[in-house]
Amino acid sequence: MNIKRLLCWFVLSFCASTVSVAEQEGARVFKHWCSHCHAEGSGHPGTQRLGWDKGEKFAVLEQRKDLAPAYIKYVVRNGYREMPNFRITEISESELEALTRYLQPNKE
Amino acid sequence: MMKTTLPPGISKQTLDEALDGFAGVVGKKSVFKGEDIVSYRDPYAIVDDDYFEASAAIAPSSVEEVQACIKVANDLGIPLWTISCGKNLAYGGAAPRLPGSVILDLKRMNRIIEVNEKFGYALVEPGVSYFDLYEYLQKHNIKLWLDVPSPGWGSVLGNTLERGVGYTPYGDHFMMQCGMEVVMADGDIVRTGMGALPGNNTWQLFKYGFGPSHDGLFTQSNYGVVTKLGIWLMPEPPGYRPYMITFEKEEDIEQIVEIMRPLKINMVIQNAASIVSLLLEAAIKATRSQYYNGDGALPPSVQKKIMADQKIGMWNFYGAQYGPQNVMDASWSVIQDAFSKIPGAKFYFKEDRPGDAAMDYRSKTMAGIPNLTEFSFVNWLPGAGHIDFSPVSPTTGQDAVKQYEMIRDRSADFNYDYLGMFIVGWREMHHIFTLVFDRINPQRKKQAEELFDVLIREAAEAGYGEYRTHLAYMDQIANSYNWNDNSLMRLNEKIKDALDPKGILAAGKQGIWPKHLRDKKP
Repeated sequence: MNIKRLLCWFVLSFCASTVSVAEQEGARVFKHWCSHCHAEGSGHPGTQRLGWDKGEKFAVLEQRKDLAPAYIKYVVRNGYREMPNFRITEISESELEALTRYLQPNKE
Repeated sequence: MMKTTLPPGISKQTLDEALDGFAGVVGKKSVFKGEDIVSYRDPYAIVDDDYFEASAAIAPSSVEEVQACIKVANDLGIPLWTISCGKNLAYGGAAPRLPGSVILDLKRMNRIIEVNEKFGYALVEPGVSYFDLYEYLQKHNIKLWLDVPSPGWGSVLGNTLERGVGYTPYGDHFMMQCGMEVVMADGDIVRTGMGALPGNNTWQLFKYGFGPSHDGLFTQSNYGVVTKLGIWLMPEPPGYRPYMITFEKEEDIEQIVEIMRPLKINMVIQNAASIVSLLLEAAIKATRSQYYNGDGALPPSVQKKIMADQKIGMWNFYGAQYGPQNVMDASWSVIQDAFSKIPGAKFYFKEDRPGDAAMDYRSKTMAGIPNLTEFSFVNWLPGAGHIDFSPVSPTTGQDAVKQYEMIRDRSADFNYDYLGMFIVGWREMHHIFTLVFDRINPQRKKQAEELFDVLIREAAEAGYGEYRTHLAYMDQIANSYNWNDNSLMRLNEKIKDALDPKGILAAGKQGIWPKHLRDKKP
């Protein structure tokens, strides 16, 4: 392995681990604050309501690709219909950023 | 830019001075105002969304910061409203009773200070939720069970101070509380019970200590800010078996309660069981419009269809057994024989109802596993909120029928459905009527407000009082506890004036106002 390739390997690994840490943080926030209402399957009030209102394709937040970051942030802070609001002391600004990235529309 | 709601008698300049003072204690980033205040609103407000509006919020991270914030508030006469996790939903959420109050948000004080497996207790700060404590027990493989209310994201400390209930044998949370640390309005700090003895090792083991027992003074009150609380936890039992019994007829409630009373008081029914109405049970898995689009009460034919579809009853009794298998088997035969006297009673264990979301979550809550499934009932109406009317009923069939019929009929008068349950205490039941109301349509919301008002008055006339209530009804319900020319409230006010003469703590909580606001309650 020459030096250029080694450097390239380091850069790519660093990027991958950064993405992975951000992804993990978003997943952690989702699990702690959102999953009890919005996870897949029965017994989740948010999933149930979205399924009834918008159709099964839109029921599970983690499977959606249409959730714009600004919309997620607004709904988290203001609540939406049956869903209550969440304060900065619950979900901090950086956690909300991580959450919106986790649910961003162009995620793979 | 959002307009700031000022507390009565406080200028913008004084508020700003106070916010600077708070920022000096907690840091600028932990003082919230403007748009950030929106998330402190009651999500299920029965009055205008911005009626119970805070002016600002502050988030201390330690007891010392709480003391320093209280000093700033006391110096400038700024009203504070304390929240723990702020999830007192159906009772006002994180919003203050006095508009313009500064929220003292204790969510960041979230240390689990001690869990003692040998004696079965935890000592926690206000920001510790049931989910947090449950995860801690799981992570450290501690064989203790929590007792959780239906929604698990609330504060262990906050729920106990509100005298909330859960569904295991430890269902009466205040009964299981042992030891508090309280910051007083003058900045002094007190530990109750054995906590007052330096070097003690019994603070969470013996409630009473020496001399007067004060803990109750700091529940549902505004006499201090509780910063630590001890709570007893149940040792994991050798066996656990949740069960459900369905009953076909509306009038069965009378016999259910009569049969249940001796079983409960003799501990054959071990837990804080619940008797759940048809529609509250149905609302976990369905909406009203899936069955009926008309006004008024659901016709009997529709009720029968729901019962058949979901295999549920007009009343649904949920209980659980805890202990060695042979002991559970023996007491099960007693329970089964007793309730079999009611024609049409059907008995289920969890394995008899696979894939049933209602049985699943009740099996969790009766085992102290926090979850949020019960919020599904808010889906009963589109765009709904909910507010709970919670009168106390003796465990007699006659009283249960009287309360049920009163609430059912008044609800029907206002075109709302009866979604309710009785949570079984030792000698009484908390009758929880969950008023799921349309919060998008202002006219329907107004009708819900009127219905609630009628219920309080009619219940009080019959000698029934509520155990807890929403911000909007604290004064009205406090006024119903008026024996001997309001002697209880006169005592409450004397204590308030002595402990918090400037009236900075939680003004209006449970109808207790500081002197300067008693004649002009907002």
